[in-house]
Amino acid sequence: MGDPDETLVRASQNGDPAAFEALVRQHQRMIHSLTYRMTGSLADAEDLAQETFVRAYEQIGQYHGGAKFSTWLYRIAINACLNWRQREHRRLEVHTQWASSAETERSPASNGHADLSDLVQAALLRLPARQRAAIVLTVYDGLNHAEAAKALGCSETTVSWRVFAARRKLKAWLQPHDSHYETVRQF
Amino acid sequence: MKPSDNFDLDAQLRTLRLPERSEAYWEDFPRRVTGELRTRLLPRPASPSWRPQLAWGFGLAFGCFVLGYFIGHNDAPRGFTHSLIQNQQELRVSLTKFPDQFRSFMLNERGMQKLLPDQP
Repeated sequence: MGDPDETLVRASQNGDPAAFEALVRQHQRMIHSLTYRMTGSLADAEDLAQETFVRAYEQIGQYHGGAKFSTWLYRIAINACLNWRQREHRRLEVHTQWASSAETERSPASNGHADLSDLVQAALLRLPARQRAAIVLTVYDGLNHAEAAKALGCSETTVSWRVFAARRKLKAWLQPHDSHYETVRQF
Repeated sequence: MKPSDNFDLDAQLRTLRLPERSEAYWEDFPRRVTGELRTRLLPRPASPSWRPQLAWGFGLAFGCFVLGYFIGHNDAPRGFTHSLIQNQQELRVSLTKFPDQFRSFMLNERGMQKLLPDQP
């Protein structure tokens, strides 16, 4: 298997709660980052991270080491985000919040870096969920397309297409020109 | 307006900051997860057993059905009325033929029974 988590995974499969707690400790930051970038909401990111680990424990008997444990965990987290019941409603809500805060912070006195971060988050939330997931996994988590394909449960070609489509949109929304950030603000 | 050609999208995307959380949060989170697991995976308290109630319900329903069936299909009252009319005719004939001769009349499954006094 060659996975550093192998021992802990086997112990968890044998019902050792301490081993599973160690796995959570090992991967919690990665999963929180993913769920936050997918939702843009701190509270929802926490809920989804917890849900991810609970589901992982419930399904750990089905993990046979075909992929790295972290990739398997990514897949559960992505599915949790995609199945998020109120995701569309929340997404719009958060999106609007980000948009208004971005507009407010565009004043000369505001922190330019924070401003850009907000705009990036708003642009990510504007993407369709699957394209957003592809960008989050490849750009932020550094997965190659093959690993991302495993995490997303689709082919590499699909991942490549989603990344391409998402990047094209993001570039259009984030690239500075005379009407700076105009497109991002048009929600 | 034409966008600039040397725009670095990846660099722009990496400006996205993550909210900072305290070390206490990271310490606590795994315990929260295992706590949630314990709550979800604990054997739930036995719910009130529905089987005896269901059995009683079925029994009662069956009893009502059987009762209804026999009431609906039982022609005993009709047969009884019919035999009464017949017996009434026989009674009249008997009383006409033998006035003051009968001590009692009795109706049972063999029909009308007449009891004469010991001494006429």
